[in-house]
Amino acid sequence: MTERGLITSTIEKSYILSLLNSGKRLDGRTLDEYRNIKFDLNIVEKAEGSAMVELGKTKVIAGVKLSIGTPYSDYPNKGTLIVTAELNPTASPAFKNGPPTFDAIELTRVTDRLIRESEAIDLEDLCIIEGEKVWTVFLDIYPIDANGNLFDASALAALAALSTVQVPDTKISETGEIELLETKHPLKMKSIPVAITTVKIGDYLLMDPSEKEDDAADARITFGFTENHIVSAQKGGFGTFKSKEIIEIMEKSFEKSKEIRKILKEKLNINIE
Amino acid sequence: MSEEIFRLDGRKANEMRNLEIKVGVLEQADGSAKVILGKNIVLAAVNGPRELHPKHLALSQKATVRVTYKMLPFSVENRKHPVPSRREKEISKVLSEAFESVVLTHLFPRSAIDVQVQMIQADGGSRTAAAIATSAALADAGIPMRGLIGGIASGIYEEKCVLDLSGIEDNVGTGDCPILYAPSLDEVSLLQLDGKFTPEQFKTCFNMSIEAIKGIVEKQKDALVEKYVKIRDEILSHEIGHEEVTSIEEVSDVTEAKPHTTTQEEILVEEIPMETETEEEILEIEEEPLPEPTVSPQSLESASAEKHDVFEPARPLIIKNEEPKEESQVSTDNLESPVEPQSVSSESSSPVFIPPDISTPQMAEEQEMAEEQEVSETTSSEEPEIAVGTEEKPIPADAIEEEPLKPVSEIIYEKNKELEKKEQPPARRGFFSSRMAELLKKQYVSEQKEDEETLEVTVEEEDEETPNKNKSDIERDLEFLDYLDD
Repeated sequence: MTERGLITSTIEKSYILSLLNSGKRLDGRTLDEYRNIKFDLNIVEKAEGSAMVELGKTKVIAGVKLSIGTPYSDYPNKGTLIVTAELNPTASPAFKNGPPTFDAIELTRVTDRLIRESEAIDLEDLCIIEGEKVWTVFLDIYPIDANGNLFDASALAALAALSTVQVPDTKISETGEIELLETKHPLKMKSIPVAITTVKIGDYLLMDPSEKEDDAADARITFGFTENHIVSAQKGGFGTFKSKEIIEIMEKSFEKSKEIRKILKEKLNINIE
Repeated sequence: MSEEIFRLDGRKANEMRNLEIKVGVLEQADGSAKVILGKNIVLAAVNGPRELHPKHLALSQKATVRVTYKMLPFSVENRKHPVPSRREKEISKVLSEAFESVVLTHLFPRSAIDVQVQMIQADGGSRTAAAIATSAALADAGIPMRGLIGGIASGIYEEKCVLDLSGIEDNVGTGDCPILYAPSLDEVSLLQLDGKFTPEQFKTCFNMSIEAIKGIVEKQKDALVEKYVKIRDEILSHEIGHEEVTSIEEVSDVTEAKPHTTTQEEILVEEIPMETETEEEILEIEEEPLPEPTVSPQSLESASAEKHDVFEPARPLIIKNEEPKEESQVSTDNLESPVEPQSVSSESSSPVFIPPDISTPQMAEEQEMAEEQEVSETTSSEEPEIAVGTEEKPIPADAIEEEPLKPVSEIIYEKNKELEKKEQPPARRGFFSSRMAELLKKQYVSEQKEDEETLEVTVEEEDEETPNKNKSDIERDLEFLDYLDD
């Protein structure tokens, strides 16, 4: 990420560029090829939902906790969603403990935007008593091994964790209090959002950057897609994209997102009405 | 385009809100800009290139561009807490990165270019307004850049692609996509998006924004040109002024008010009353708990009958009212370093605004006498600034500007030294008691004066809470406070 040493990046960048000039990537992938995606679901018993996702060597854990809270006054019949991501030294020596860095905040907000804008969770289904009590979904994302493309890996982990969430059934007693029942039902989902990140190194556009490619990148752009729509985008990095490149990346990413969604549908148990 | 009007403010789909850009709006900053985009009001201040703190973050090969985006608490409907939110931090980050892409950072290794962007009012598309201001302010600061950046948001409102969403449209609409773009480079330096766009809609919005940004950057250029045209005009008018005195008169408000035949001296004299006004204002504002203002006129009168009453202490006036002539430096020197009489005297040889009579030797002597009396009367005048203020006697306007200040300031310097020696801090007292001791001393001194008005002033200004207590009361209080301090 951006906090690493400049000298290493410069040397690595020239090497990566020379490889790209001869049509190769460091790990032998094609420019738009993703690394293997591996899901490990329900790794935390205490959480209502959890998952670890591996994207190549990048590992991200996401967990979901539920609690009963009050709705926002402008959406009295909707549950609430709170997304947090932290970059701890576990994941990389470049990360520090302490208050969230700009990178962590950006990761948080980009993931939050993807889940929220795609309406992946049916928040209306999380309403218990309209205007008074709703479920609050806490989605916490912790990269534990940052080997490139944290944005996509976090999005995958978030979705995987959400797919495992079991919401307790509730009953409202005669006195108006909420009783939690033994039975549970899966979290109702409305779409499968996919984030696709592309970086620019020299004049090359690479999808799913590895750690070194992330470091060497001039600029980065992440698009989030649902089945038919673009729901989020975030450009980062010190470099820029030509306007033509933006359109090109968007179209290619859109195609790519369909491919990734197919994998998600196979591996995760998500029922969309 | 005969589109139906469907937007809340009657704009067409590809129509921007009103955009105003002005650069050089702040005095302190190296560069600044104010941008009004619809209801958005943004101020950007650029400082740098300068040393980067903390130093370990400095990059050995390039400068760091740090944009801080801040919303003022009153800029939005519901008060925003002043602590930076995650949203503000994210925008700060993406703006920093966006501008680092155009600034020639390799020219300033290890340094920082800091941009503070303040949203005075926010109403949809605030980050693009902030970017427009940042770009203009960087250019205004003379930071070398590869190109100017403009920014605008587009989005989906009522299922249609629209440009530059207002606050309400942003809330009601189903998509928002701010873009920063440098037209001269064809480079997109920021793209964010949230909401629901089909790929086709995205392309439409993207192209619409790119087109609009070309116009925005032109406006930035106009704003920059406007500033320098203004400066050029100002310089030209001054140059003319040196050659022909009459044209100065036309320019000056003061002289317009009282038109008459003009000579250089008369103009200068004319300007003094205006300055005295400002001086009085200054005194009011910076009012200090010292009796000077009341004392000085009296002592002055006793000292020299010749002086004009109209002219009040004029010295700081010169300081305040910087004319584009040499003595602005001189006067500030006097203010800042009255302790060094030599430098003051040497530089103060041509104070155009100083009433000239003072410069005759006799007058100067009288003046010194007055000064001495004054200073000795008021024990509390440790502050050189005040002494300087009183020193300036209003005097008829024919004499020369030969070092009237030198002897006076020297005397003040000596007096101050004496006073410093006399005023030893109260021995081993705490905060409360030492303050009261000061008060006591003041009162004691002032009681010895014949002038009762001065006494009142001294006591009142020193401490309003105990204006009427007599000495024994105060002493009792003092003991009590000593007790408290222990």
